[in-house]
This record gives sequence, C-alpha cells and structure tokens, in this order.
Amino acid sequence: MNPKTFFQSVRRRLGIDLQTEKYAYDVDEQFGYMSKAKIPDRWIPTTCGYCSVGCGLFIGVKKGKAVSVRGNQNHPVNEGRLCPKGLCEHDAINAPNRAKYPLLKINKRFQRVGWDWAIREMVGRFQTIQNKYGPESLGIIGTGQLVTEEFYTLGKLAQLGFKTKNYDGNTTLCMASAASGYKRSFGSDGPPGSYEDLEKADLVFLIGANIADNHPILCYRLEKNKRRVLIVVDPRVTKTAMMADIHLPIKPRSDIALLNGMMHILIKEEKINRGYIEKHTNGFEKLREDLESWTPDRVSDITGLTPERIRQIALLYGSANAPFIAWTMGVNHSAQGAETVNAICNLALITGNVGRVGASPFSITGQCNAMGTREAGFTSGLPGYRKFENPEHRKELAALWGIQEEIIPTSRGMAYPDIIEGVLTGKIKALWIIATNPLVSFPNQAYLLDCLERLEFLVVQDGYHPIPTSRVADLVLPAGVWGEKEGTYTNSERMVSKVNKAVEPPGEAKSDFDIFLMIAKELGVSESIYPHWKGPRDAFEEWKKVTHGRLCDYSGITYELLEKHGGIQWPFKEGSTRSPKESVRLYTDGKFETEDGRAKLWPIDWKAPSEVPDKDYPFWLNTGRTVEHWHTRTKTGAIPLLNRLSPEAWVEMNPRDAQNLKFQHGDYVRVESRRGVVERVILRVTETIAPGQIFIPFHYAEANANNLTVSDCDPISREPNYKQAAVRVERSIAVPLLERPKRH
Amino acid sequence: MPEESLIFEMMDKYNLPLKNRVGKEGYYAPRGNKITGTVLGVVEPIESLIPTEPLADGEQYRFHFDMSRCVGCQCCVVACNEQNNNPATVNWRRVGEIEGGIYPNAKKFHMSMACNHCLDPACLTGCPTDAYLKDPKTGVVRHKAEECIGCRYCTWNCAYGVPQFNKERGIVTKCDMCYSRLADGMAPACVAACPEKAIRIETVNVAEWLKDHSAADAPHMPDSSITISTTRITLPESMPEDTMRLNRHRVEPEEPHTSLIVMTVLTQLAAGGLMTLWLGSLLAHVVGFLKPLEEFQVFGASGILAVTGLALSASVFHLGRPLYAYKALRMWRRSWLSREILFFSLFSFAGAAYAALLLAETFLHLEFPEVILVSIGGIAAFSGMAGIFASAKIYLVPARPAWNTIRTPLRFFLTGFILGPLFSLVVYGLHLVFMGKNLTRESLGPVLCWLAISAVAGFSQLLVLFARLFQVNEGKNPELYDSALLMTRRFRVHFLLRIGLLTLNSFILPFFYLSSFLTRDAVSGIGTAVFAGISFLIALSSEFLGRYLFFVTVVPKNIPGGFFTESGGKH
Repeated sequence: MNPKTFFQSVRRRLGIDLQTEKYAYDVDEQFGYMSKAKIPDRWIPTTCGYCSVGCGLFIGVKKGKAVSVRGNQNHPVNEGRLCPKGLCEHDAINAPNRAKYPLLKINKRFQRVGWDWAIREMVGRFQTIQNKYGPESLGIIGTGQLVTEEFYTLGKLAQLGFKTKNYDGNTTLCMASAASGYKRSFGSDGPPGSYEDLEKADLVFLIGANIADNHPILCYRLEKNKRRVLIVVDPRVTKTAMMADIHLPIKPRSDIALLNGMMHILIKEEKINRGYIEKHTNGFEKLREDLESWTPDRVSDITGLTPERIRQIALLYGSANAPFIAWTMGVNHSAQGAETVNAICNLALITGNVGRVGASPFSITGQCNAMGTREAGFTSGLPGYRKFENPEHRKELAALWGIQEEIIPTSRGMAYPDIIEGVLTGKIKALWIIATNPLVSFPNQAYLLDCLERLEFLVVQDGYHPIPTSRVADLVLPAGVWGEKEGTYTNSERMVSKVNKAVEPPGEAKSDFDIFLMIAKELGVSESIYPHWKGPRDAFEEWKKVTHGRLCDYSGITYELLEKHGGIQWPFKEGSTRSPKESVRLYTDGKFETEDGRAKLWPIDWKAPSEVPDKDYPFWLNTGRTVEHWHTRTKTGAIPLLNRLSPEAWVEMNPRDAQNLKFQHGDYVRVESRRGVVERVILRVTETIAPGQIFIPFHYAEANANNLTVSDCDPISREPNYKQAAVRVERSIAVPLLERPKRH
Repeated sequence: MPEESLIFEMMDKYNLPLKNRVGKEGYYAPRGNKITGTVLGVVEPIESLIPTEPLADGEQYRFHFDMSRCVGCQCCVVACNEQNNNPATVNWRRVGEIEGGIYPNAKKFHMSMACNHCLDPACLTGCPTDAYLKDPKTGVVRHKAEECIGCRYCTWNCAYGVPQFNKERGIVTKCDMCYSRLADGMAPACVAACPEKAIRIETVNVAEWLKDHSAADAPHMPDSSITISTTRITLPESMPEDTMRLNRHRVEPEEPHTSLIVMTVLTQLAAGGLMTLWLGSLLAHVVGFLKPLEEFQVFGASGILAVTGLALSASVFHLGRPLYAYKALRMWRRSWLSREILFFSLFSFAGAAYAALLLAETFLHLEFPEVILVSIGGIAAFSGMAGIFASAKIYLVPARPAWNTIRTPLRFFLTGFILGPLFSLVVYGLHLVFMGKNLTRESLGPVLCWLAISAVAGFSQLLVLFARLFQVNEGKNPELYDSALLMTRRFRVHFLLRIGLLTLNSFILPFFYLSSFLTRDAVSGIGTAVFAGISFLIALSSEFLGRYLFFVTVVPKNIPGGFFTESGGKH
C-alpha cells in the first residue's frame, strides 16, 4: 500500500473522509438533480441493446467513460421509461469481463496476439479447412445483438465472401418460429401490428409471453390502455398473469388445442368475418373441416381448461372490436412453434383481425435487433425478405450488387441446430460464433460440448471473455458492444432506431463492423462486396437500396431522420408522405405477400411433446427468464446490483410436490433429465406453478437449465423445444461451486 | 375505440371480475370494492405522479404505493441506486415478494418500499448526534451526513430497515424522497422510473393521518403504529388470507458487533463489580465476616477502573467515524445512547476519583472522612447501575422484538453480577498472592458472598435464556419465532455451549472450590487465584458468547424481501 492510499484509508477509518465528493448531488441540465458523479459531459442518444422493445435512452459520457443512463422522454416507444437492465446499461460496457485483446490458443493456452496475426490465422485456417472439406464445411453462427448494418455486412461476408450457406443466427433459438409462421401464413416475415395496438385494443391476448419479466416497458404501454381486457395464457402464474383479468393456466404446450377450440366455437357461432375470409384468404373450407373435431370437450381434455371457460374466451375474442394477440417464447420455443404461429394467424384471419388498429397477431421479438437480422441477415432468406428459391429475387440482388447471379445460393443452408449436428456428422469442421453464447443457451449442453470439441477450428467473436463459449475457442476476437458502435436496431414493431457510439471499445477491441471489413480485406473480397465502404453508414445506404420496394422498405429512412424522431417504423418508402411519428401496420388492405395476395389458412394438428413425464422423470420442466438478467448473463452477470437482486438460478415447485418429496423452501436440489443434470439449485416452493411442473430460468451457466432440455427442433423453423422436458428432482448433495456468483 | 366494446358487458355476464380498474379516488383497484361493468365513464386516474399543488398547512409529502399495479420489475430499485450512486449493497428502495392462494388461483404480489417518512420517526428519536431532521416544510425525514458518527442506532430503531450503513462512508444513509428533485418540481427517481405508475408522491394531512393510519398497513409489513408510517399502500382487491413472504427461508444472522460485545460485557462487569465492592465495604462496617474487604477495596476499585477504560475505548471502534465519538453526548435529552455514554462517563470519573482516594489512603497514608469515600463510591456505583440500565434501554426497541423485552435489562444486570464479583475474586486472589497470604476459613466471608452472588446471577441468567424460547408464536410474532429458530438451529452449538458454561460456573466450579474447605482450614493464595482466574475466564467467555448470541440472533422487523434478498443489509 502506498503512503497516499494508506493516508486515505486512515482518513476514511477515522471518519474524516466521508466520500463527500462521490456522494454529492448536482443539477444536470437535462435530467435535474442527480448524483454529481454521474452527471456526464454529454448525453449520447441511442437505443437500448438488450431486448426487442427498443427503448430510447441516453448514455452519459464523462471523460470518455459511460457513467450513467437515462430514458429518452421523447422516444415513441418508452417515453423515458426503462427496465432495470436498461437503467444500469452503462455498467455492461464497464464490466470487468470485457474481451480486450485478440487471443489465440497455442498449446491449450490463450496467448495475446495482434489483430493482423489473428485475422490472418482465422482466414488462413478457414481457407485451409474449406479447401480440404469444401466451402460448406465452415459454419457461422450469428446473433440478434449486432446492428442491422453489421448483419448486412456479415451476411455478405458469409455467403459471398466465405461462400458458405451454413450461416445462421441464434435468432433461430428465439424467433425462427415466428418468422416461419408469418412466412407460411402471410407470405413474408414481418409482424403486422404496432405497440400502439396495445393501447388501442379492447382485448389483449398474450400467449406464452411473460412481458412483466421480459419486456417490462410493454407493460407500460399496455397500462396506458384503460379500456381493455387482458387475457394471459401461461402454465405458470407469472408476474404477467397477475396483471391479467383472466389467466388461462393451460397444460404445457396445449396452446394449439386452445386456439383450434376457439376457432371451432367461433365458426359454430358464426362469429367470424366471412367477407374477409372470402376476399383475403385461401384454405378456409379445409380449415373448417379440420376444426370440426376440436370440440370444447376435446380441447378441455388437452388444455385442462373447462369447456365453459374455453367458450367464454372464444366469444370474448370473437366479440371484441379490436383483439390483439401477442406471443413470445412460450409459442416459439416449441417443436410445433411455426404451426402454433399459424394457428394464431388463422384465428386472426378468420375474424378479420389483421393489420387493423388495435388488432393483429403480433410476435414480440427477443433480442434488440433480432428483427434486423431477420430482414438483412442473409440466413433463412435473402436480404430484404427475399427468398433463395425465387430467381427474380436473386436477379434483383445480383443487379444491385453488381455480381453474377450464380454466386447467390438458391437454397438456404443449415439452420443453427443443424450446423451443430453437422459438426457431429463431419460436415462442419470450422465454426465462427459471433456475439452469442451457446454453451449456456443451446439445448442439451452435453451434446453441444461434444460437438464443439470435435471442431478443427473455433472462432468466438464477442464483447466478453471469458464466457463459457469463448473458453473452448481456438481464437477469441474482442468486439465492441452496445455503446461502442454505430448503426440501427429494428424493434418488434418494425421501428428502426439509431444506435450511437458513446465510448471507445476497451483495449484493442473493435466494432464487429470493423472486424468484418478486416476479414474481407484478408480474404480479398473487400472491394467486390464492400465497394468503398468505410463505416456503417455506407452499409446502411446500400441496405436502403436493397429494401427499396420490399415489405421492409427503408428507402425513406436516413440517419438524420432517425436522430430527429427517435425511431421510424418501416415500411417508410422514399418520398413517403407519412409522418415518421405515425404508427404503421402491415396488410391493412388485406393484401398479403403471397403470390396471389391472399393469406393462407393452415389446418394445424396438435401433437403431444416428444418427451412427457413418466415414472422415472415425473416432472415437466419449463424454462424461462427473469427481469434482472439478460440471456446468458455475459452482460448482466457482472453488474453487482442486478446480481444482488437475482444472484443464482432457482427451481420453482408446487408445495404439494415439495411436501411429497420432503423438501423445504430454500433447500438445494438436484434436477436430472435423460440428457444431463443440474447439480445444485435452490428450491422456491410456490403455488404459482402447477403440481407436476417445475420451472428453472436458463440464464445461469452454473446451474444450466439447458443441461436438461431436449434436442427436439421444430421441423419447419428449426427452433428448439426449450419449454418441455421430463425431469426428476432429488435432494442435492453437491457442495457449492467455487465459482459461485459473488454476493455483493 | 369509436364504438363501445361489448366485451365488458360479456365479462359481467360471465361474472368475470375486471382487475386494476379505476376507483373513486382516481387510483386503480381501491380496497375491497369490486367494480364490474362500470369501467366505462368513470374518473380518469390522476396522471401527475407528484402533487401539483403546494403543501397546505398541516400537510406533508408521502409515498403512495399501489400493490395491485406493481409487477416487481425492480426498476425503482435500480433507478434509486443510479440516482444516488449507492453501491449494490445499499438499497434505499427495495422490492419484496409475497404469495398466497392455491394454483391456479395463486396470487403473487410485490411490495416496493423506501423510507416511510414517519410522523414519529424512531431513527430520529434514537439518534445521539442529531443527524436526523424531520423537514418542517415537507415532512421528509432527512439525514445529515456530516452529523452522523456511524453508530448505526437508527438502523436498529427503524422497523422497516430503511437507514442502511454505507461501509465505504462509515455512516448511515437513507432515502430523502429525492428532496431536491421534488423541490424542483421533478418526480423522485423511483417514481419516474416505475413503468406501472405504482409509486407516486401525494400529500397527507398530518392530524388526520395521526387519527387513522390504517392505510399504511399491509400484510407482512410492520405495524404502522410503531412510528406512524405515512406511506399509503393500496392493496389488491383479492388478497388471499394466507400470504407468505417469499424470503421466509432466509433468516439471516445480524451483525455480531464485536466491539459492542466487548463494551457492554465489560462495562457491566465494571458496574456490577464496583457495586458489589462498594456495598461490601459499606456492609463491612456492620457485618463482621466482610471485614477482609476493607484492605482490599483499593485493588478492586483500581482493577475495575482499568476494565472500564478498556470497555469505553472498545466502544469507540463500533463507530463508523471514531474521531467524532464525542458528538454522541449531544442528544442526552432524547437518546438513550447519549445517556448511556453520559452515565458511563460519570461512572468512570467517579470511579477514578474513588480509586484515587483509596490509593491516596493506602499508599500516601492520607485520611479522608468516611462519608466522602462512601458517597463518591456510591455515586460511581449507582451511575454504573444507571449506565447498565441506559445500555439496556438502547436495545428496547419495538423494531427488534427479541431485544424488546424485560429480559434485556435483566440479562445485562445479571452479566454485571456474574462477572463483577468474580472479577473482585480474581483481584482478591492476586492480592493474596502478592501479600503471600493464604485464604483461611475466617477470611472466607467475602469470597463466599462473591461466589454466591455470581452463582445466583448465573442461575438466573440461565432461566432468562430459557424464558426466551417460550412465548414464541410463528403467526403472532414471526420475528421472535425466527429468532428462537436461529438460536436453536443455526447457532445450536453456541447455544448449548452457553448453557453448559453457565451451569459450570454457577454450580460445578464453586462446589469444587468450596468443598476443599471441608478437609482443610486454608487454601493457598495461589490456589485461590488460580481458581478465581479460571472461574472468571469461563464466566467471561460465557457472557461474551451470550452477548454474541444476543446480537446475531435478533431478527429485526422489516419489510418483506425478495426470494434472494435479505430484507436490507445486516445491522
């Protein structure tokens, strides 16, 4: 201890030093009285980098460091409100576990290397492997966390630079079912509704969406609506269920039965919109026939709701002026996810509730820019909601990019779970993972780890290191995170918002955009795919051209307009006379993106989940989230206050089950499935979960719920079935891990 | 919507109640009255989150918390810490969770609480340095950092766990309702951050609230009448009867306060010791067998003085700001903590004078009138007793039910009379060794008295300890129940050891020592000193242990916590 710190510590111990300066207050011009230490030199307007609600906020920058965050009162989405993660988002930038230098694993140990070396090594290894096993032996897994400009850039790099089709985003673990469902029903991805509908609907129907925990600011929008009935469908009594006028505690994964049952009743009662069906849809007769068998009694058997209640719900939906259906992971995270989305769209279509004010089937997205990757990503479709299979689309793009049409793939490559499986089958030899952490978030972790270990070369590009996935990497590329780069995000309601750079990335970390450009240069494709590109703005300008005339039309949007209005919903065509502030919906005229312009009605059959509880594994496992944490806690895990509020995983169990197993509230238990085990997790005995079911949040690497989940994926969307698995629960005999989250 | 919606009528027809609707007062979900079908055309809720009119005479600001609206998103907690730059361990606003009912009709509620800006703030009343101020204009209970010495007494006094010690600063800090923001017409950080508008600032008429403050009560909240909390709580319409705290498994020990263990036990030792000595010397005039005390008095008093010095210096280390310990005397008119310090200061001064006189008599062969000696000794002895009483009063706070009983003063005095006589015995034994004397049957009088007093006190202490385990009723007094549970489960070893040591010292050791006089006429000075030493050390450790348990097993009243959060920090 040097004399100065010693002196300081003595002064503090004696009580002379009260840290007065640190705890002083002063007036900030914009936000009034606040902690003086957090009053910045300037406020940088930007958009939150956690979830897809897309809240506007300001980052306070003081002496080159992000010191505070405040909500943007004028942002159309959140009007100044932020959730607890957003309120301390600057701490995610300043986290101690930031990746600062490129690290190359040499003799099983990470060595710091320069960027030149790192990029040369990466491209060299990838090329060697591609030369040996074919270009498709390189897999790339992206994210929903980058800015749209970066997604667009990465998509071109993967498909046109590295020439591998096997590129997908972790959005497949999240939103793929919504995207696939929309494509099947409406001919294109793109949620038709707006948040404004939450305020204008007279009936809000939430299916598998715990917005109070996962999208808290949507609760703010919903609460503005005083003339609505809120129905929440969820097997758990969630925080959101507590907000509801009617909570429907259905059995796990029985939502298709409920939706079919509702349609059955509405058709029987003639509470449907015949005119709309005739004018704007195909396949009604087949659907009607199929729904014959979905009598309330049958639905009651599957869902556990009374026939009476099912009837009431159906008639409420059918009688509402503007019923709004919104869903999240309860629907998407299912082996029947896309079909569930189709069932939802069916219900909305036959009642004519699509694209009207207050009425739409609306998928609430997960990550801040999952929408951006869906639009620009070049993963499950061509940029601008184009299709690989459509020669017209390929031709348009080839012309726009000035390349030969043949270079553009004619079909989609492997989806995320298939890329992982591809490692096992030997098709994938090298993998590049960007801004996602599968070693927490992927289902069936033992299987994933086995796959990752078989790779010849694994590159992890992330803002944080060490994280579970970066530990097993061969090369770690340190990336800038939110607050350190510029671009745009698109939120759930298709609102494009500006993301700005407030501070420099730490150490030698670079923005993902810069990293992609460096790689393209090394690959020798820089000028062909990124002609004269210098910054994200160049990518945005090209992206605008790509979207021109498409459903997701950005062509009227400029960075300057975004800065001015906080956010603008697409479609916003060049020369549009619409006020950027105005909410816009899709399919308001009943014209869909299908070939004949009609939406498609799909008869949907309900299938039981592949694994159901039995004698050996008697509990349903349900997984989900909590408001304090973001995904795999690479960001929030290092924020002391959020960690104090929610320091470790827990398992919820009904008191009746706990009594049978002789467990007490607060005991540590062990949860086991056929695939893996969580050795030690604290028990929360609560009536908010049904007997026979348990719930574990998936955020925590130390007690990873994904050790237990099944490998089942939706055959259409390829989205994994996270929400149902069979497990058993025993008393834990494991000692606490050394690496337990610190209690601050 | 332009056209009126049918579905509200349908909800009525199906007998499905609507939730969180507008009530007469303009807020959502008023207590207990079900409103169905009347949703349309009722009063709009008050949109402003803070009062728009200035305070009228006799009014103050208060929080309104609407439990039916809170979704437990923790925004208020984070916004508060951001506003005030507090470390993660200090949370001026906290969110608790309670649950009740049976699946699927289970209900779960969240309770966001900060300072209640009470009409009778116990933090303020107890503060020895006048660091608290009930703002005359707004009624906000404010804390002045510069005045605080970090004694943490307010953290014991508050039934809601509001004042929290900030280690980094060495002082207590608390919510001030974002006083300065309010003055500028801006909403406090928590109010502005709440996405559900569940927290608001409103005005309250003080006189009316004093008459009826039942709207401040809620399940699992400490009774609002303890300090007349001003926070109005709107309860949800359908609150189950059988709600439980989500953090019910989390009964954590409180701080042991080592320096306070040392300080209280040693001051009690000194006070008890001096009282026995003084009484003994007084009685020696009339009772023959106490005669040997007269020449011993000086050693006893000096020894006790040394212990007092040690105790008082130990107490300073309890403070977050030791240098400002002197400030603690300031509020002697109001605070028992100031009074404790006052009495023990008097005790040490009078004790010092007493010892000085005795020393002068013994070594300088001066003569003082007996009456002076007796009265100075008496002043010391009684101020010592008053000191113990003041000490005990400090712990008699309604916010800490396990302390707030007659047992606390009893155990403090008993500690004094267990250790005081034994300490005298030690000094006596050393005195014998020093003089090269033996302890004969004839001079056994004082020793017998000391042992008797100590044994009786020890036995009583044992009874007091057991008494604590009775009258615990989980429903009626959850804190006492939890406290007893903490002692007999988590601290079982300590607890059993305490019982064992008390038994050893009260019955076994004196028996063995005294029984040696059955076979001989005298025990050597060394033998006596050794016995006294062992006996004293065992008793001292036993009392330290007892005091440790006293501090750690007190379960304070508090607002409910979340599943993972203790209800605030340890204090």
